[in-house]
Amino acid sequence: MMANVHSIETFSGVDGPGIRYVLFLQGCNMQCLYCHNADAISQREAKLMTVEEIVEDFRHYQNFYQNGGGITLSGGEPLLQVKFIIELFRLLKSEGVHTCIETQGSLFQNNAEIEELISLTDLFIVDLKGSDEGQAFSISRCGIRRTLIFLNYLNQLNKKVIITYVLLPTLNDREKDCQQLANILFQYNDRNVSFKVLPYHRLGVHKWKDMGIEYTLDHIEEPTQLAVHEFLSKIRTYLLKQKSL
Amino acid sequence: MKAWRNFNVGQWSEHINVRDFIQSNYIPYEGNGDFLVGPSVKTSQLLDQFQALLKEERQNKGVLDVETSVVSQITSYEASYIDRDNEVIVGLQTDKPLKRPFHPFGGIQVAVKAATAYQYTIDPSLVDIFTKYRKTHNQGVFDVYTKEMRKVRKAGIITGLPDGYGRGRIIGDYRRVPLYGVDFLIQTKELEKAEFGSVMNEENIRAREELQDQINALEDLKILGSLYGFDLSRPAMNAKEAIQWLYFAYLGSVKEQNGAAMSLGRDTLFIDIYFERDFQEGTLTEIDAQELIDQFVIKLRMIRFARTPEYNELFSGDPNWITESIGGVGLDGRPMVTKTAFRMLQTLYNLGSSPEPNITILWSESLPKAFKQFVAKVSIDTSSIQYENDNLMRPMCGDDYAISCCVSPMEIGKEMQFFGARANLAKALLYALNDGWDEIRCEQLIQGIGPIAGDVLQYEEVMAKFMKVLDWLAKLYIDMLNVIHYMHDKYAYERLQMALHDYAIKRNFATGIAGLSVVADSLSAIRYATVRPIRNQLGITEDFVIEGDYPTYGNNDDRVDIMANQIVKTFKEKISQYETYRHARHSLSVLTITSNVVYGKKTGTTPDGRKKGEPFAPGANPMHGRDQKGALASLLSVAKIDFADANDGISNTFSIIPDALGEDYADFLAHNQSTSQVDNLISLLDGYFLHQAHHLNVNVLRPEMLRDAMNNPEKYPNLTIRISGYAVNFHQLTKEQQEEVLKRTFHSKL
Repeated sequence: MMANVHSIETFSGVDGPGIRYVLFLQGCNMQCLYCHNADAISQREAKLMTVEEIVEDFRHYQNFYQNGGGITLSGGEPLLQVKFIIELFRLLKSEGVHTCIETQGSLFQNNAEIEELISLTDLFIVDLKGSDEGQAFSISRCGIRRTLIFLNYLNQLNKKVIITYVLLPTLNDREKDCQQLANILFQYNDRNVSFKVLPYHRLGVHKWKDMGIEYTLDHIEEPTQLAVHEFLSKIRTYLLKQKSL
Repeated sequence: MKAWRNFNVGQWSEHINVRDFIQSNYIPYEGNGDFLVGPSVKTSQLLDQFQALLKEERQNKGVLDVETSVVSQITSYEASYIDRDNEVIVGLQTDKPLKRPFHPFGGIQVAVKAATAYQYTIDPSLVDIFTKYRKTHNQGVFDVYTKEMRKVRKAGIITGLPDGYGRGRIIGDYRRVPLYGVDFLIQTKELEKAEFGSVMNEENIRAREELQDQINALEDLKILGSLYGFDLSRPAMNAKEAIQWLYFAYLGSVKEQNGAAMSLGRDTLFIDIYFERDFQEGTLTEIDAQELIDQFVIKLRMIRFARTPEYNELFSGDPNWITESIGGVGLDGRPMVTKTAFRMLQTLYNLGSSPEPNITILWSESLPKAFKQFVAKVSIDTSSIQYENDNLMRPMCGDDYAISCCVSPMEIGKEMQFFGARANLAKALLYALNDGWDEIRCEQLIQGIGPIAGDVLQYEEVMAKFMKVLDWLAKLYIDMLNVIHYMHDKYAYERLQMALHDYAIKRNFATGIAGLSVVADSLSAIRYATVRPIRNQLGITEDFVIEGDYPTYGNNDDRVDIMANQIVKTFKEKISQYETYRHARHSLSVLTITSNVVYGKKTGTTPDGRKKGEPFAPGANPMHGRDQKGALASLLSVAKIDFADANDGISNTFSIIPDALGEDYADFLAHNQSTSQVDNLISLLDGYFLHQAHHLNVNVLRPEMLRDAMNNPEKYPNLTIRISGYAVNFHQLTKEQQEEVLKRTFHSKL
């Protein structure tokens, strides 16, 4: 089984708990305005690697992942390559490696394959592209309807989930967004599902320019730490209101 | 004895054995840092005055005052103070705080030059004495150097040698003074001296003279104590005295010597034993204990030497390498961590971050978790800590060793080293390509290498010539060091520091190399790509055309990493063939300090594509920006250098952007408080050292911040960064060095 690989990062502190080996898979079904891996969007053939090759490379660094870390599949959109991930995770899971998938969840389908994938995955980090369908579409050219179904499914299975939301000042930081996000989060068991706001950053902009594609967020500023906190505390307030009802 | 009340007795109470005292008395601490306290009122007041002095020093181009008329000796000055009422630990190097002493014994010319550089004029009568009547180390060396030695020194293939300044790197066992009192140490030295009394051959004569010098220095140390009203002849009675005695022993040493590195040792367990006894006797509070440590550290931060601009280029940032080793695990498996280890780290918060003392954590995965977490937090907050692999050093040095300078482990009081700076292997490779001609000075330094004829460099041919150059270099290098250390013993003997050693000691012959990654990448390019030399009219290679890809060191690629490993192994084998002064054991380090910039300046374009004059990577680091496969691949390449080949230390400086190390966020849904940066740093260190790596400097910094600090130094007066086995204030680096630091790979994720 071959994977279409964009790149490998052997040391990540931000893609799940602990130090993680991150396998970025090539190809995505979305095209988010803020994508920081724009060169991973195209579903062209990049670097083909076998499960064995990846496991061998992983093992070089395994000492670093043992203390609360593990492997994370990211992309691109990893759910485009479910069969490969299942094979990889079967192997790693049998050795007790902590597994994580970063996805936007839009490719979720309720079938046996996905079910096995979920059972092999310790943590899902699900990026929510907006607080409602229309907004998500304008940001990612894809809605969040299936993502929400996926989240509900994971929630019912008591899977560990982190929902992430990239904060884009003036684009998705309205009062209404806070309210809608609180409505979404309210449905989940907060022992398993947590929520993180990721401040928009411009570190991947050069990739757009390198590829000669227009980058449309040049006018958007990176939010301050304070702005992120304020946004979060508004959501928190709405959430508490919901709970007290 | 009253001074030893309530201590467990043992071998140490019969004869000098500080290790046994520690092991019989220390209590490991497995808890966290919650007991720690902030600075006391006295400390805060003293700190204000210290900071004002530092500001004045900065405004005065980094030098507040220089002694011009008094030779620095243990007893040269009367007692002097910064603020007597607020000082709980006393003693200054000279008559004024931050005034730099005059040390002529290493070399009068260098001492004069250092003063002149800051517009001070040494008293002409002193210059006269040390020129006409009292020979110095520097003169001794140059009396003996051959023409060839002078040439290679100028060419910069061997540089930074301690032939004009104090060699340093010797750690006195300063703990002996508080534990035993000076009189007992003198008695022991008298007994040692008597052992050499039967036959007056050269060896015994030298031993008797050195031992008498040591005894005289100990007598002087007692005088130093009495100037401040203390009786150092007897052991310390309590913790306050113990720290004061310890500091006097160190102070006496820096008064006598301006060694390049004047490291402190491993003192927190020792001090902790005294603290614990005072706590039990009800004579000390936590505030008092922290006050003593804070004030001791303020004194250490005030140590100054007068140094020349050339010296500062090599060892930038005014470092003294007052290295204090903390942690490690005992031979019995108990962690050597006490509350005083925490107190020492706490000084970085109480007094602000600072390069000195050079705090070095002897890391083992079996250190207590709470301690690891505290250390990692301090490291992330201050970028002031370096780590060395205790599991690697303990089998070689036992459990009472300390780090000297940056990375050199030595058993305290039982081992010393002859510091040997380093040989420039990148230049050596160019000699191999140029028939022994120096590519910058355009003169032939070695005969018989033979020119390389073809258009394309052939790996086998280059290697054969490179080996020949290394043979020549190794012999010359050892010979030069033999001359230097013979003369240093003769004209600038470290009387007091050696008095705080056993007489029968192990001596290490500490050679070093620079340019490791440049050589490894160059050899890799020659082997795996096509490298065509471009030669000038003299036939000297000036540039290279490289066609094709080749693996570079720093990407965990065995094809080139093994080359790096073999270069180190080979050079170690080559130097080991030659006889050393005083039968010292050959050792080798891969460490450059900041001299990687100067070495680069003096080295032509290399076959790896590095241009003439560009800096090398520091120590064993991969070349700037060539470690493309992420932080771990970079670390694992360095970990492949075998400590057995370079047991004087393998330095690696690692810079990471805080966001890449992990995220600290409070998750309000799952109610988790994440401390992922701390945990990830611990995993990183555990993982790195499991791979048998030796050393890691850790900087958790944003390059933008450094860029800002370059342009606005006044905004960052205390910005400390780890460089290469030591830390510096960023603003004390030259512009070139700041640029070089910024060029280094900052590991980030994206």
